Amino acid sequence: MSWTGHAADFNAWRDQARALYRAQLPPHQVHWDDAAQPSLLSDGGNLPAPVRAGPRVPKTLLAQLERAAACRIEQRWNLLYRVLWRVAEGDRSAMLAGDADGSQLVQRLTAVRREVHHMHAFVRFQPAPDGLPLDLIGWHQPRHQILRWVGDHFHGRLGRRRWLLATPDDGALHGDGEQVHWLAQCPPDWASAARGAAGEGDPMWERYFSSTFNPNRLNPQAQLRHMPRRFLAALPEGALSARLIQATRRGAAPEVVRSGAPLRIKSAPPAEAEPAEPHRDNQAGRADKDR
Amino acid sequence: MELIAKLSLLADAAKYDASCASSAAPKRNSRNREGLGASTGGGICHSYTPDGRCVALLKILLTNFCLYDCQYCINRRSSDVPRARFSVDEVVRLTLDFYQRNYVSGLFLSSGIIRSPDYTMEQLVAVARSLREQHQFRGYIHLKTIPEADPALVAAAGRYADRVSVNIELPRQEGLQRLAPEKSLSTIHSAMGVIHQAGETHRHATPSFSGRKPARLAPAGQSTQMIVGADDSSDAQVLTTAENLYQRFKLRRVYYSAYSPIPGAPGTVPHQPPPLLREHRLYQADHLIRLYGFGAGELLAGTTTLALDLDPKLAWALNHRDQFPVDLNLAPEQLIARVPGIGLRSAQRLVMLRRRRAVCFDDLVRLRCVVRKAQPFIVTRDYRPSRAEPESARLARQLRDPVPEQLGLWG
Repeated sequence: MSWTGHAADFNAWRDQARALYRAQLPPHQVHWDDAAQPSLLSDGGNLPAPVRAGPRVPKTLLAQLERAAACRIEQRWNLLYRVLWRVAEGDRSAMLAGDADGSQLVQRLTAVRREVHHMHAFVRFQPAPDGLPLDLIGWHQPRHQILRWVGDHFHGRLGRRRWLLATPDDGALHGDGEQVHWLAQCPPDWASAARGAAGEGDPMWERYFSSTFNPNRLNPQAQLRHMPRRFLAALPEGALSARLIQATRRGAAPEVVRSGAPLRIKSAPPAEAEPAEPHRDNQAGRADKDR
Repeated sequence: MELIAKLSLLADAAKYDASCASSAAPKRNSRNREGLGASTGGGICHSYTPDGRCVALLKILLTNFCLYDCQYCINRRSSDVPRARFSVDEVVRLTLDFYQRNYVSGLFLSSGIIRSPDYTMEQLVAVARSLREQHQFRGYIHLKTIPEADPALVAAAGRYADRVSVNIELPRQEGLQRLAPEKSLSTIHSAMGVIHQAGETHRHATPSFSGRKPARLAPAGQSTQMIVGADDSSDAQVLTTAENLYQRFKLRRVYYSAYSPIPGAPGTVPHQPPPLLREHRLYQADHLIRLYGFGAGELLAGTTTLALDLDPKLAWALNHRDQFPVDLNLAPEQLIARVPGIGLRSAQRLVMLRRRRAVCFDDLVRLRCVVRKAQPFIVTRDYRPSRAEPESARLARQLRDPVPEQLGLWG
């Protein structure tokens, strides 16, 4: 007997995984599909009949599986069911980093944790335009479905301020000054305001960024190693960095570099070729390659 | 002068200080409270400039006017840089604005010495007090402390700041005497002592009836910075000084800043920077001293200079072949962490794994250890280095990091 499971989110997966475990269907007989069935209810009715109780697993595993499920990759469920099965059958090495399955689980957890950290770091808020019941708006594109894990962090930082943090495809978070709500559908005028704010620069920030940069230590590789290009490019400092690097390589005076302004050159020499940077976003990339 | 012009000058003047940590503060948040800001205990780097350094805090000077004439410093009184001064309120507003836009996690404020050390210190404390008391700011604050200021003011800084720091700048008194005549090692040490003592007093304080201790001064501890390559101090002198400071004053961090030649610098300081790789090796060695339990003497093994082409742990292992190979299935965790290519976290994971089953070679690959470096130094269930393992000198040639030519020239 084999079975195809369908899960669009963690809760749907967990309910089916529990039933499949109770029906004693081992991982090699179960294949998971990322898309939900049109009707979960009728699908639930078709689940095979239980032949045993369980699965009994440590609470920490459930939390880990839920976080790993936020990792946006194809075929995200097969590994999770395999780990669940092995641990429930008493093989706890399936949770450990040295194990073949465990190391994949840990990689996904790492990718999710890093993406949460990236979001804490690289979100930018702008003052909200007049007319909206908001003080600050921000726009961010995380690679994984982690929005719900950053609400507490920004609530803690922003106190009673009213803010909106919107994403292209994972809804939005709204802090109303007292609580944080996850909005599956962001009101369109809010979303477009947030998207618009993302492109706006701030002269004070750009001046600070250029002034705190030390041209004597130019090292764009190190910058990209810490700040993946996809984030850098989405922020005003992405274009600014390119100008700073160019000005430094051309030996511009410190006050010119500090101003962050584009270089004006009368007889333009051929533009210096940027060395090709390898794609540095390794950690998240690793988990993506996992199947 | 416009605010943006001041920001330009006073951020530029502050950038030679390498410290940027925003970690180790007690957990705080502003959920459903007036005010702004949180600290989670961990640090956040909000951006990186093209020199590869992180932006975690708004790092500025209150003013770059200065009475002192430290030769390595761009703000020395004999330097002809344009000068500016922020008002207390301007710094407060900038901090709050940068914070709520999520550019930074707080403020790192330092200053040139104006009028007197006490007056300058009072101004720095005034900024922190305004942020904390008037604006209920709960983000991170790091204040630079002026060693010559009244100890009561140093303590006041610790009341509002998470971290305070006194920069030692040069590891030896001779260097300071020559390059920073207004500074002295003993004054610097006594300022560090004031902060250290406050921490100790808090540690031994008896909780009140309600079980609470009084708030700790500078709860994220203190740090310092040493400039590398402005005088002729060796790596051994730098690391021994650092080790000494860690032991004596329980510093959280010593930062190393490769000397950046300053436009119009006097002839007393070099015109060439030291190799940046030297700074990197010092950080690696410092890391091994702080977290891995290595002694500075062990890492240097009789020499005065760290190798540029080998990381210090590998260099140490090559000098101590008698202690290897280490059996990953038997050795204590601390010893596994001393193997090149295996970090603290991996050592911990290997020990967790071997409680379930024997560790084999492929586990290291899966743990993403640097197998190339670890290989000659380990034994696993299915692997043992061959008896004909090359001697250390040959191994060193195989495992060394390529040193960029341009850096080699400066070395």
